[in-house]
Amino acid sequence: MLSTNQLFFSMLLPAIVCGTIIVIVSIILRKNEYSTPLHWLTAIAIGIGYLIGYIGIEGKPTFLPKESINWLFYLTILAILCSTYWVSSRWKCLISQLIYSVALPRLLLSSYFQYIWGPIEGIIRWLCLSIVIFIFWNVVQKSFSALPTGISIPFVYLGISGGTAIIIALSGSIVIAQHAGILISLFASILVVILILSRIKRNESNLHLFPESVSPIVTFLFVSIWINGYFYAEVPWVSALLLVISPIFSQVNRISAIQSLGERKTVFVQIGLIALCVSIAIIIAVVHSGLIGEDTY
Amino acid sequence: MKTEWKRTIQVSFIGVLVFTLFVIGFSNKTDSQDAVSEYQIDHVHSAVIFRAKHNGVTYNYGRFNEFSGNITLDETDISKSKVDFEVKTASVDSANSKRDQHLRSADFFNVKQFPVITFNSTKVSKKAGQENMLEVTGDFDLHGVKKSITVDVEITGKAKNPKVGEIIGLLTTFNIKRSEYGIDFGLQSVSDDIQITVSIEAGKK
Repeated sequence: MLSTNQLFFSMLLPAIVCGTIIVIVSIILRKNEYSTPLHWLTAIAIGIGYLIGYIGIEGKPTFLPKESINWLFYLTILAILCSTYWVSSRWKCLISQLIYSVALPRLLLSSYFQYIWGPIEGIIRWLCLSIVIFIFWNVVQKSFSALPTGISIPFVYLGISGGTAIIIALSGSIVIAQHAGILISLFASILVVILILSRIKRNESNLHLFPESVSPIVTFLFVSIWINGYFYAEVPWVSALLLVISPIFSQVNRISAIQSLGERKTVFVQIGLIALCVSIAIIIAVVHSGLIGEDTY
Repeated sequence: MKTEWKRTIQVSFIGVLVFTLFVIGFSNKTDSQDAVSEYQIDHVHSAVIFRAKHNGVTYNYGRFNEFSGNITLDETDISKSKVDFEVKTASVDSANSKRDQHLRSADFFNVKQFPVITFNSTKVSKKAGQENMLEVTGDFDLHGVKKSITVDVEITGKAKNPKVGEIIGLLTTFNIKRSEYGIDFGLQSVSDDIQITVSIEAGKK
């Protein structure tokens, strides 16, 4: 269980810091519209918020990291750096995407490579994971443009973080679930800030707070937490798969039959399908956990 | 003729002397070799158990089902003795499958990242004034944290069994603070102090 101190540092403080930076970002964006080169400030808000939460849970980071989850501190810093040059060059982004997609599983699963997988099996799994990460990264990037501006993007990722936290906690690791808990507080704070700003000024609800440059931080954090949950807790593979594919449903707005429903209904279908995907993943994790049964402790 | 006899006696004497010295030398060597015994742990008749206090009220016990190790015991010079021990963390068994799953996860033993707990002795000495008691110092590696610890080991018995040969029994109980090894999840409900008991039966190789 979390103590009050831990709760403050791992959830409340990250939310306050992230929310404050988002308010600053929205003021800057209001003045500069979309021409601002400071789009990566949202990534800064999420990144700094996460780093604070990380320290709240794990304490001072050590180098080299002792456990896989400890890599998240350094990966977050890398993701923030990555976000700063994301809009500069298409080639730079593609090369970075390739490098990080390959490096992430190698760093996070070093013990699997050392103790569990043989050389051939290791390479095959490494390759498959790298491809999945690369595709997921592009899905995240595309979801930022497929979903309408305003509350829908933080709402979707709040739902996915919530699902992740519940599934990992049910699968046996409260510590890894707490890392997903930080993401819940961060996306919730962004959502609240957008809601408050839109109440104050109507056009604030159209603020484009999630440009493509936010994709590295969102990808790094979700992928790292999922890899930790799947490989170091016992998240059922179907739940893990459903979480990974859930943002793909943001692309259903490309289907003409759905487009014909109108803008408002299309958003409902997009969010509804993502929510359904996450809900099924949670149900499978509940069944798998034995929560409904006698073998509890 | 007399000289020949003398020569034959001399040669025979030297031969007997050389043979005697050879036999003595050889038998001495055998004695010192016999003093060093190497044993292999018989995990069927051994146990590694641990206990932790739950909610500050009750002691909960658990065990590890898979472990192995070797013991080298030098009776003439005990300081040359050695103990190497390895426990497979995935074999943790607390008599509840859900709790075992949690114990194996990243919250506790993190078995995928730290598949073994090891102990390699660096110093073995006899405990002053206590028969059959040894003081063993060694590197204890748990959850990726290696610390030097000293434990008292009791030689609980020695026997010659016609079926399995020469066997030895060892017992040690010691305490660790799990937070010192980076296992600090749920300290409010599961105690930081963990008592570990290792009871070994080992057969001479």
